[in-house]
Amino acid sequence: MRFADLLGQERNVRLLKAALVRDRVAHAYLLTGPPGSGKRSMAEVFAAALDCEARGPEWDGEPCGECRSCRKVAHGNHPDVQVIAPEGAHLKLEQMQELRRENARRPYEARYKVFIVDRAEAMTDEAANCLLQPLEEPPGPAVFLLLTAYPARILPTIASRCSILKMASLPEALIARALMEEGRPEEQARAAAALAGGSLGRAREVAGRWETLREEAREFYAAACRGDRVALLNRAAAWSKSREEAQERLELLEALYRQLLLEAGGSPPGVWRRVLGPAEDGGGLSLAGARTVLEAVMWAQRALSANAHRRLLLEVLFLEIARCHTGGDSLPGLAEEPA
Amino acid sequence: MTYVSLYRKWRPQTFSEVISQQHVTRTLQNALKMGRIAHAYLFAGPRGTGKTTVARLLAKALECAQGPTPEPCDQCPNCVQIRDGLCMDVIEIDGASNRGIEEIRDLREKVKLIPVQAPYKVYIIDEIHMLTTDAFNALLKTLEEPPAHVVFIFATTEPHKIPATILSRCQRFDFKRLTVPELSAHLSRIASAEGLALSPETVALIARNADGGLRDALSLLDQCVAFAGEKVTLADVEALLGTVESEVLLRFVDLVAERDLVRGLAYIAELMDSGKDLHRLARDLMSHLRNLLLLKLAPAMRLEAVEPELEERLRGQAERFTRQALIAGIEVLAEAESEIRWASQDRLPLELALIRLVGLVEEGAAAPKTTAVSAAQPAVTAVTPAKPDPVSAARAPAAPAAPADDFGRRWAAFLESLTENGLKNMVSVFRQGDPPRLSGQTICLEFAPTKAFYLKKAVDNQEAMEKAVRRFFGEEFCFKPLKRGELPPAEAPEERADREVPGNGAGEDVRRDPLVRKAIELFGATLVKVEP
Repeated sequence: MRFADLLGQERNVRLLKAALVRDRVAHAYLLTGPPGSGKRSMAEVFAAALDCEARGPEWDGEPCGECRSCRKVAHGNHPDVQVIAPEGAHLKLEQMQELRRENARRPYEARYKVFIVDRAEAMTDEAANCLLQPLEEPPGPAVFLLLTAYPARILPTIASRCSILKMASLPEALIARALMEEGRPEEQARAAAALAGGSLGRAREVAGRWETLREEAREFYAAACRGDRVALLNRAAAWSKSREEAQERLELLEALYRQLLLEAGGSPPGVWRRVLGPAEDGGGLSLAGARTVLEAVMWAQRALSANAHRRLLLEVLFLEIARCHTGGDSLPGLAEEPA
Repeated sequence: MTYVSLYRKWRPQTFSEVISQQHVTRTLQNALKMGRIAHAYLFAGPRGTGKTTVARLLAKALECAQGPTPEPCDQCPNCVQIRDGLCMDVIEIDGASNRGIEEIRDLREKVKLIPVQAPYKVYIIDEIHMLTTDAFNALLKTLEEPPAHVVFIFATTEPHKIPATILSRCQRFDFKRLTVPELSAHLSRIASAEGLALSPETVALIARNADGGLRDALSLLDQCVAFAGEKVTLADVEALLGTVESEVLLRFVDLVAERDLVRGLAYIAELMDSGKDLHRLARDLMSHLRNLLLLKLAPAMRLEAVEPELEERLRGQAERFTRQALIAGIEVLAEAESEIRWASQDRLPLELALIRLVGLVEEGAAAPKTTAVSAAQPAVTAVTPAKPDPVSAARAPAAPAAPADDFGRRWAAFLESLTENGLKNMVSVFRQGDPPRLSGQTICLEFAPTKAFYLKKAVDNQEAMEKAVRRFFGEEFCFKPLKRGELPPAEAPEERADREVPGNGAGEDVRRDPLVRKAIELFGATLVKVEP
């Protein structure tokens, strides 16, 4: 992979290449951006470029991709390029201590030692603090690349030691175009782009499962419009099997209702409208209704990441959504007594 | 030789090079001059303000060949070794990775040994807050009465995590955040020494974005140089930071004032596609609204760091909002900002905030719109707006502007008194609501949709809560918990019941009419009279 293969990151690529060519590479970078925005690819290309053997006076910062070093990086077996990822839910103190021991050694064969810390927000407090000193004054020629989708969760003392690179999320139109160029039908491409949150990788994945997702969205929406609580509760049971599944479905609902919100706000109907069928089915949402649903979905996403009981969470959420659709009151005792 | 970043290269090597921490350096230098050297120091303060730097300087001042001296020579072997991190008698320990009791026991053993080459043994423990409780306790005895040749220097960003028993054994120095002018001056100095060409505006922009940390400022400068070469322009820095120009803020707020939701949403998409940082946009919008509010409250005031021309435009924009809308708007944005902080997606919270902002403006302008509604529905002749029209409310002598703030204070006092009376459960329910609103004699407490549980609690216990309210505020007050967005009744519910035409059975039917219901939902209403 080369810098040129990274879609939509021209600004960051320009910045890193300039640092490489001018030989002003900072010793620590914090790469932030939504999941799937290409942080990992960017880090790997940058690592390859740092250790590329083909650098000469005319070098433009692009790794050659052919030298021994580049090939090793591409295969993930370069001894001086290490990727540290969470073991389980966290990046642990032991992993960072191991990193520090490794950092105390000189590079085995390349110019720089490169440490890629994936999902850096998962560092425990101890682990993060342990990294402070090497991040400030690495003993040898080392470059740290910390990757995270949640910059607000990184300790300020860590962030202050890093140069921060914000990965641009790709415009939806660009993703949709890329998917269409890969031969996917327009509806699929647009909907997947809307779901992907600026990540081409995620869009491809969504597009692959589009038929299932579309059916699920359609059925959910129909049930919600009818106020069919039984169907919704069954769905809650079906979607809460694993955390990833629940998370993905919440994202689906977020994209869906966001579109409805925009429509209620007066924007022209988007691709989801075609999926869901015309609005005159009695369950159209007001602007306030769509807003309430989205706030509830966001609340559910937060609760999910705080380890709430999945099924219970989805059930409560779905009943709330049904209420917003039908305009009826909540279940007795849920939020208020029926009049 | 690999590149050494600016903040490491320009780490001060003498006390005189340390900027903006005179309260620390001067005290230390005087202590050194008088030979009153404490055996334990604690340096506390935010990141990038010079704790580690001053710790090393203090070590140098103690170990210098002429030491202890108020200004180390930076030339004798000891000074040079300390600078290069080679001195055997200055031991720098990373508290975060040597945090257990074993390490501290080990340290206690070694403390007894006499220094090798210098007069003192200096232990610098960075990130001291990460030591375990056991480790702290193991240190207490040594820290109280260390051997005469030992000086401890602790540095931390989180002094509140340090046990009081440790704190009381140390001399504590608090480092302060650097101000923007201080940062700018220092940045310009370093830039010219490095042969970089930066305009004053560029420097100021970098300084503003460093948030008081010198290290942050220098890393940013470093990044800018790496990006743009030796001539860094304002545009380069803006592109790098994804900052939002004041034009964008003005335009955004104009769209809110025009209640143009469609273009507002499109504008967010446009900003996002052009690579703006929406988290930053939310923050900047907040400070923009703050500026508007200040201009609204104190029209004669001059805003600092705002050009006169821009200030004029801000003044014009402030005219378009009521004071309440601005205050509520800032709250909405603050909420959105924290949402963005915890979500990986930043667009949706901002979109929702925009909708709520537009809603706020609409609420303020609801009064004139009611006429249109009642005209469209001749069956209902008088739907009075429940929310008091802000203009007339301000004019009415009975309700001058001050009581609103006064009410906030009294509300806080009320909660305080409940806590004192042991009604903590009730207080916690009260606190889950939005800031309460006083309409007439009714205290309305709105609950966000996510706080449905507390709303239910409040509804269940409304009587008890109302009793508490009456005890504090007086018998004439009532208390009403509401869902957020549900508009409070203008008067107390009893009064409203009185004013509904008695004996007119059509009243309830009209309430059920979808259009009327919608109108009541939108504006809140008191049904006065129903004409066939």
